[in-house]
Amino acid sequence: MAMRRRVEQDEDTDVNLTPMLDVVFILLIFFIVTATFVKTPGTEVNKVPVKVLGDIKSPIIVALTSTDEIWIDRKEVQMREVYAIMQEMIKDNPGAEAMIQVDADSTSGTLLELQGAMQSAGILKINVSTEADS
Amino acid sequence: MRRRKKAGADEANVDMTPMLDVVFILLIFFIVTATFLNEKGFDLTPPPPPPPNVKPKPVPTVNIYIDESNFIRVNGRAVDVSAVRANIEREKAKEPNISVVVQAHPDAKNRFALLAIDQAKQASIENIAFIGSAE
Repeated sequence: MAMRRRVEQDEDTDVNLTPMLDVVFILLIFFIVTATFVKTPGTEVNKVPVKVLGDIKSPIIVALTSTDEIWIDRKEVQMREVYAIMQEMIKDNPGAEAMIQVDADSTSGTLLELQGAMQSAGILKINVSTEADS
Repeated sequence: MRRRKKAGADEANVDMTPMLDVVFILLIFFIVTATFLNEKGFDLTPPPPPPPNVKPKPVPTVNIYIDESNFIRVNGRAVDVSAVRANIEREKAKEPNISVVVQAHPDAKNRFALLAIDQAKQASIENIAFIGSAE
């Protein structure tokens, strides 16, 4: 009699893991769905403050710094390398949408040349990253 | 007899601990690699090159030129950055379907080109072209 009661008590002290498992699964699914594997340029740019702008979600990011350096995936690259790198990145991102983080002090000639190189590599949409003017 | 049956029911319970370990490791991986992109901006895709042997139709345009010293000219008249919108809107009043062409010298700063495009967008111009100019 006494033994049986102890066995029942042992079973009661088992923690029910099912609700926690549910929560963990929901968190896991949330993070999987929102996961975007973006190759950041690895440099900071001083963005242009503009009034008319919207959200952009482009997985391919290119930065153009104030000294007209081009940064992709934490590396500085030359203009002639952009074409090959873009073709490589389009394979991973079939949407072929890109974003250029333009520094306010970079020159327009470099931006236009960069846009041309990206477009000839097959990028269909090129966005410019700016910040909101308060 | 009754106790033995109970022990058998206990053994039939699936042990969830290994799966929980795996799920936790996956969760931690996705939390660590999560990057929330919060980028704002606008579309500046260059227009595709026109097909050969087709003469482009002349359309009414406002020409904004930014020279190498970052001076802005709207239809040849030098204006301040903040006055570009007013100039565009005056031209738009004359011709509602007007396009804006922002032409920048290769050495001009992008700040002024992008601000000029922004001013055209504020004037709700639909066709905005950003092109370069010869030296």
